[in-house]
Amino acid sequence: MATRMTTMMLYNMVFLVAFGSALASSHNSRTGDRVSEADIQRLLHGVMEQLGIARPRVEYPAHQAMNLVGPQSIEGGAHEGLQHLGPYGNIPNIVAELTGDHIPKDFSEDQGYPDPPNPCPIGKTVDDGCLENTPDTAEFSREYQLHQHLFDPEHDYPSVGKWNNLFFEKMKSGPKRRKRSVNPYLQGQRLDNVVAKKSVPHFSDEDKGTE
Amino acid sequence: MGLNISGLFLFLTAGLLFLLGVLLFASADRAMYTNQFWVELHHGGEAEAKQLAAEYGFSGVRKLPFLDDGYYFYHNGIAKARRRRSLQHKLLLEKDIRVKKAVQQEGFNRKKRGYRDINEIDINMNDPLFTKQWYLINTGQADGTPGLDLNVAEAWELGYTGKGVTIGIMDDGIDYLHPDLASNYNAKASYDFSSNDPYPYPRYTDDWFNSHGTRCAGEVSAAANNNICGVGVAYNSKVAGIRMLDQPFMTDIIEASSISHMPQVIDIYSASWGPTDNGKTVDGPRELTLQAMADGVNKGRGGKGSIYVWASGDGGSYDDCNCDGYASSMWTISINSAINDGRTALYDESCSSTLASTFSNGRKRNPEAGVATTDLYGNCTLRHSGTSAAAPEAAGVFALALEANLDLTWRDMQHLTVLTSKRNQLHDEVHQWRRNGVGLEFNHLFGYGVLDAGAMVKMAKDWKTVPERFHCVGGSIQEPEKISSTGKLVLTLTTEACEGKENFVRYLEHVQAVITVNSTRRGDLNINMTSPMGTKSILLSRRPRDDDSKVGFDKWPFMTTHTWGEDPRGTWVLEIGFVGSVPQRGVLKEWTLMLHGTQSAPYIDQIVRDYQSKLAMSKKEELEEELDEAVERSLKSILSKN
Repeated sequence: MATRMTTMMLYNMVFLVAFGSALASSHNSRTGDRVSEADIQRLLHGVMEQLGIARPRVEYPAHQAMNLVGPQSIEGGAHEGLQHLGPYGNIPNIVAELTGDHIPKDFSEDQGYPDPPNPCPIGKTVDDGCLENTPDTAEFSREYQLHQHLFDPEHDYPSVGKWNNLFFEKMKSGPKRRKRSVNPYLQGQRLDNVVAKKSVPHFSDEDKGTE
Repeated sequence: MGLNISGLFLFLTAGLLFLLGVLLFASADRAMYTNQFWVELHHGGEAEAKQLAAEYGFSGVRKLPFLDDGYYFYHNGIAKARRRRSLQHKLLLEKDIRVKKAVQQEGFNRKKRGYRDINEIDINMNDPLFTKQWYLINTGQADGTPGLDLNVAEAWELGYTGKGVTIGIMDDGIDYLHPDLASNYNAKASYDFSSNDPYPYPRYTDDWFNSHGTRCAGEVSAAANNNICGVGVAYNSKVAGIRMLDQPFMTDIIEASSISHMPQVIDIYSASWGPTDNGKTVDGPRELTLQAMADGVNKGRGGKGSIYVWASGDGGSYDDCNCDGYASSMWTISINSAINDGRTALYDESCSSTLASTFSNGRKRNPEAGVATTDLYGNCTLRHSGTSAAAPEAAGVFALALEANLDLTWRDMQHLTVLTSKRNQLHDEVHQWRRNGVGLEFNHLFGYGVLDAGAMVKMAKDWKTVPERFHCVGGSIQEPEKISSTGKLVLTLTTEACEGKENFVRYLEHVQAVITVNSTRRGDLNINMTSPMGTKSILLSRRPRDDDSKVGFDKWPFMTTHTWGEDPRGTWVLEIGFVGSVPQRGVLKEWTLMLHGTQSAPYIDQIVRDYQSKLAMSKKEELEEELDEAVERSLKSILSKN
């Protein structure tokens, strides 16, 4: 019994030493060898398991950690698969990917995305920073996005700062709300072609496509 | 071995079997009584029978032609089926001097296989697309297979509609003004990470590109009986919009923030995104997202764990979702899709980490074979498709299960999925259905089968949280081994599964094979792993477009769910080879076997209500195994004493 305990202890010690040296190496000379965050997590977790301080009910990132390098490639929403878009389901989707890393992006060209309108959902009002009485139509959204600069001059999208601060803001100060309570379309500027599309849906085009 | 010992063994086994029987029957379902009585009269004809029936309030009587003085009394006064005998009726009838015998008929549960008459389902919805939502109730619409559906009708009839459950749709926004969604929209739990504000309204594009989230939301939470579009799987649940796909690039922070957004309010997160499905990407959650996911399962929902539902991907047979670190994670329930006749969709990506399937379209050109749901700007669509249409359906079914039992943990949900998913009529020419070491039927494409909402809520209701989970490093091979270009490399690892230690794993949940391998062509690699109980998992199948020769797989955790419930002790076999026309070379540098599961039997304390169920089978299996082990232990102690 006693011998088993000793060997266990020894084993742990060896592990700790190995762990320490791995940590040290990751900080100093061997950075070129890229000891990844995942490696460190795995090592740390291994030590915890050896010492019996890893709690069983808990899930550890180390168990899922994968050594990944290079920028991330993500695909989703209507960017993947074969989909049928538009009011008649006859517009094919574009397959594309989102890539990303920690490097801030410079979108000096106007290829950034405009912000969509923020209509008020049930239970929210102008005071919450949303647009009241917004028609739920494609026309409205299109017009809104087209004229966004005109009535929202300080919103110089796509701002790089917004992305860097996103996480920080969320953690520290809660969501930063731009007061955009003024709905220009309801203040004199009338759009004759905006109609509320709330009638029973029609699928004339779909019916024809049946085979 | 002497005669005594085998005798003792026989005796013990007999005792065990007896115990088993008692246990099984004690938890048996109580009988169902119908509103039908078999009545026998002492004498008298049909006129007297009619008179008697009228006196006791029966609405009709019919002579049983094969029985003298035998009649069939029926009436509408009693609910069609009930748990208790209608004693009053029976007693009154029995007391009557004219009656010789009165027997209330017990209802037998006899299910027509694969076919259910829509008239038997007493669900009326006035929503115009409801009858087109074949994935809810499949009556054979668009040349589909009747009965091949999520069986939501049964769950709805039991009163489960998703009340009190919030599902977050991580996508390109939600048209929360949509009249079919507005009343079920949870504004407080919603956020727009693409624009950094609390209103995830979709961005307009000319091709209505950003309609995806709205379509997914409708599958889960579209309101019922309001004359608009269709009905959501959990039509009284709340849906939260998490807009995070609609910016020019993706970051770890956006992903992490999305999946950790209000984990005490949002119960289920549905994701239809992941690494690019081009058949050559190997990617997964990065540092923050990984941390956020682990946090979600550890601390979300008051410590019961957030439920993450993941679409397995649209890469088709050119891709393998085990190369998608999100779908292959143990913490996500990865969902594949079947089409309305039980085949796999053409875009379906297969892998051993898939747990179950739901429905979508992906073969048929008939637009009505698609998924009917809500669309942008107050519209409806019949043509939602892709595995990304499958994940929200699963999220809806899980919402029903959560309503039935709010105490379910993230692992309970996976156990319920394994036990209640059905093979139904799902089939594939290449990948056959097989049984694992404890008899659970699985398929490489469909996981444990198609979700069955009715079965799931019923089991969820009296489910007892599974025992605690342990993690064990089953063993590791770190010496480099060459993979020959013609044959294949076969390695074995014999493990005790940490037996005798605190973290012994006896009943498996997930198994990971952490593999480091380099080859001249990554896409030609093929990896299989066989458990000690003989279950073979395809960890990686050929990806013809993946021509990587530099990166390979670096400590990549390939995951399988196929060995669920098995005993991991014994010898595991790993086979690595090349498929493809050109000879390739490769080196396997690491294979570490990670076992995750419980020490005690997870199903032994569960209540069995259906003897045909997988739960009944698994419980019996566990009882037998526990008994065997107990016998073995006592034999050992007897032998050591002698």
